[in-house]
Amino acid sequence: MSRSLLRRIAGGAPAVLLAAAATLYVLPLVWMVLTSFRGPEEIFGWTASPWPAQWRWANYAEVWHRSRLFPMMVNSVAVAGAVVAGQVVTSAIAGYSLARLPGRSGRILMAVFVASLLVPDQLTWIPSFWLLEKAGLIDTRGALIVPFLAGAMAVLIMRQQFLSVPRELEEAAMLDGCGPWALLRHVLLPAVTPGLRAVAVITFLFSWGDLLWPLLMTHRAEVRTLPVGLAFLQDELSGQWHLLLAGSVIAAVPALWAVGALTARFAHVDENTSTQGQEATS
Amino acid sequence: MKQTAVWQSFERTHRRAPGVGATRCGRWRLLALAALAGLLLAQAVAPAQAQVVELEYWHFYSGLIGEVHASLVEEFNREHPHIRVNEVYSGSEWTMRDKLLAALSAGSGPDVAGIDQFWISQLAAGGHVVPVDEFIAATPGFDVTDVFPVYWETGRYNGRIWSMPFAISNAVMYYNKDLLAAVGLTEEDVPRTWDELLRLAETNADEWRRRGIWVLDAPTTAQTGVVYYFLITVWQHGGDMYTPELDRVAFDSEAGRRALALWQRLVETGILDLKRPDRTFESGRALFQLSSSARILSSYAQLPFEWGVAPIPYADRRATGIGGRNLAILTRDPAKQAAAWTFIQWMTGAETNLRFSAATGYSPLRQSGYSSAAFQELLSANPDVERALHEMIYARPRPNVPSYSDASRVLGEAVERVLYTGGDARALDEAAREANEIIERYARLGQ
Amino acid sequence: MVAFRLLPLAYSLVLSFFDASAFLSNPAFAGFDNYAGLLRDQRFWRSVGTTAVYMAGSLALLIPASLLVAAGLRRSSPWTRALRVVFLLPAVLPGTVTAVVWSWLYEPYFGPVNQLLRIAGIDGPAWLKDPEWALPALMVMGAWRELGLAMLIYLAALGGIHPEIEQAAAVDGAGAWERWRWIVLPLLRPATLVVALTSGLRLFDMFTPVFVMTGGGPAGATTTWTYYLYITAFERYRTGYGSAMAILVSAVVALLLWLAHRYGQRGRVVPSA
Repeated sequence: MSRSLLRRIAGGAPAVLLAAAATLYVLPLVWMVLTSFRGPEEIFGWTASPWPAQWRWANYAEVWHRSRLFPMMVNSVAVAGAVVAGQVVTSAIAGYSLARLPGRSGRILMAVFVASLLVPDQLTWIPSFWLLEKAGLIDTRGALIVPFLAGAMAVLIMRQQFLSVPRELEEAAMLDGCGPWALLRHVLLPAVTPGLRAVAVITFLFSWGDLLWPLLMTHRAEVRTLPVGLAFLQDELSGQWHLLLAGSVIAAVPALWAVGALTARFAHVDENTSTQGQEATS
Repeated sequence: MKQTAVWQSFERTHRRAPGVGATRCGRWRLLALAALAGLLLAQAVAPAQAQVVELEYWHFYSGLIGEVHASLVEEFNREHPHIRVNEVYSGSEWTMRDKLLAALSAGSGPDVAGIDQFWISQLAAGGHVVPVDEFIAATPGFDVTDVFPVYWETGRYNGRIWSMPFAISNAVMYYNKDLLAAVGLTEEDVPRTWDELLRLAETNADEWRRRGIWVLDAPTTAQTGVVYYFLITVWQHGGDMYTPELDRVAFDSEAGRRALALWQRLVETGILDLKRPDRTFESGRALFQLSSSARILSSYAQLPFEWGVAPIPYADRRATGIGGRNLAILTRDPAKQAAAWTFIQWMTGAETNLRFSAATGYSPLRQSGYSSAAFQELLSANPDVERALHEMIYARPRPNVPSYSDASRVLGEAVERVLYTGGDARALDEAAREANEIIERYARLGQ
Repeated sequence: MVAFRLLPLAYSLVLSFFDASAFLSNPAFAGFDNYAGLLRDQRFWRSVGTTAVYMAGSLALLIPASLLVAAGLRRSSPWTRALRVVFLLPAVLPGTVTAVVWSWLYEPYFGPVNQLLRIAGIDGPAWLKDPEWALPALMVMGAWRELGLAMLIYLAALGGIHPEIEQAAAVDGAGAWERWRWIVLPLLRPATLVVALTSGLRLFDMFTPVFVMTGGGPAGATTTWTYYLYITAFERYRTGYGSAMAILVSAVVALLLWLAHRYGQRGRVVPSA
């Protein structure tokens, strides 16, 4: 065997391995989708293959109908959308000021933010419930939105982003006659869009998948979100895997779509954005 | 120079308020506070008078029973135009308990709740519920003696009746006729005692499992409620959860040890397989199941195989557990309380209760209801219901003591540990020690 | 945000000094009893240990795997971009979906994992229903879930390594493996730290899988400290004790993070967050 052939095989090996790894990695999801089309008798058979004998779309119809997933999805979308909008805005503002804040006050504020990151969710449940109750927000979508309009993680991310925008940039823009709004629009925001995108994605995923908070803070079906509905479904349908998996697929689709749409650009940006933001300015 | 000047003025603009972000954040917070204040004000000023009394009612009825229940509530609302009951499905019993807890800790919560029976002592001790016995006494024509005496026990705590029995069931054993035939057995072979079950299945369990047939489906973890059925076996061996004075636990007795040994034997012989698939019986794979009689006319009516009901196998004596859900009044507002009682009274009234029982298989509350022609007809058409309800003479409610939830969880975890990782009766002693500490703690808190 | 993070912290701090039972409305002042009780509480320490083991196991799987994947997908091409998205998919699923899917995979008799093992002639364990295998099973799931995020972090870090460094090494005669070992890997150390921290914190707080899949069992094998906290406060109604637990753990974690931060600060050229 010639050396170049060997080298080509060795060169190709990582690609093959990667493809294999990716397939293995995604196998659970594939299984989920395939099994969601099978019937209960099939599922409980002693065969390993998940391939459906017939494609039972009825599973989806049944889950959809029984659990009213659509209104819950709407709620989840509305809540997540509002939370994302809120956090993008507040984290940009707060991140900028934290990045530009001199000395002690900056460090103190930073400490405050980091501290709030460390507070485990469980600690906040009962006191937050009390607060929301007094504000009349319990059992409304407000209870799911208001507490999350600002988030420490988002602020810290944006602060990091703004830190990498050199002040000279702002100076130069001011020299060019930029007013504060123009400064924001044309210089600052473009420089930090990767960060904003990251915040948007992270916040969306968090809000979309949150289970315990909506579980405790909302009661009525009208304001219920998807994870709660899915959890209720689990109780009701335990053992009926064909329905459970169909419901899971339905719940997963929007999250997958959202991230697919966002990361198509995200992954591209990744290697261009190293630790320096200088390239973005030219 | 110009550059520095510009920079300085730039800095000055930003320094005027310490950190632009902080100001804006401050403004946001101010806005938020203003919004909150506005909301609070609006609530206070809002017209308090409504012609219709609105009641918020939390429950955890789902599935077919949920539908029957919902239609009853609707009917009540139609017939009582000045009361509106908003029924809110609150998940499973655990999620509802969590929500109730969060709500009550914050000083809010529903006006009426359909609770799991054994929650009542905690709720009562915490001052969250209003006893119903006064309302009962003030209701003309309410025949207290007509209700089965043992049902009152489900809501009794410290001498008063705090919750109204509503949906009463007991624990029975279901059996799958088709599967029995598949292993060459008939209804006559259905075991009446635990010994009979062991004799029947211990040598065959493994072989049957290879054919995809499991023997017994019963809870085996604390989370899934093993303690309820374990307690039943303790009763069957002559023991109890608490001493009669309710000051200590009593499950670390000979009876408890024998009950534990029984469960271990069931697991060792493969009769009770810890790895069995979820809902083994409902999916038609188990011969027997320990479960609530409430399912007979509701969810189990749709099972795709032939099944029957038998009493729970017994040991030294016959015993089974009463389960189900009671109705409790949580609101402090007298007007709402009156409306709540009207609602509860209607839901548990002789006529409605009979309809509810007939549709769901829950026991009628009243002896007169039980012996009424209508119900007797139902019984003859559904011998399974009859067999289940007949066991009520051996049924016992769980103890209504505030420490019960906590202590029973400790016991449940001990049983689970023994079943899954082996062990012996010392687990019971440890659990008893911990449970007694819990009782002391509640005593210190004044209960 | 202050309202919903820091006020509750204060409230819980106060509550932790009381012996409070959620349904009862007259908590008794208990001083440091709750904290003392925690130190003696075997179940608590066990849950902390379980959480630590879970984190360590998941990270041990996660870090090498995500590093390899990131390394393989380093160059940008339509092919690698597509694969990157593929590896990100599990990270974005809602927790309940992941829980349901893996519950099915691990089903002892009919789940795919054991069915496949059976073909290979192996009698698979009961996974989530087996006290010995439940936690490892969750570790695999945890690593699977976090891999996408970790991969992103490594990709960003790899992107930040100037190609000249590697080129120079190649010119000096270093082979691919040597380049990796002596140049790339050391430069990735901060990234590994970030991965360990972010994924580690997420794993530390993990609640949903335990809540949905195992209920902390069997026999307490998967009771992480957050789940134990939940049980204490909501199932056993000991809210004062629960608050003490949360405060104690948070304080320890904060201390550890601060120490790590200080330690990491020494001799570091790159400014940290």
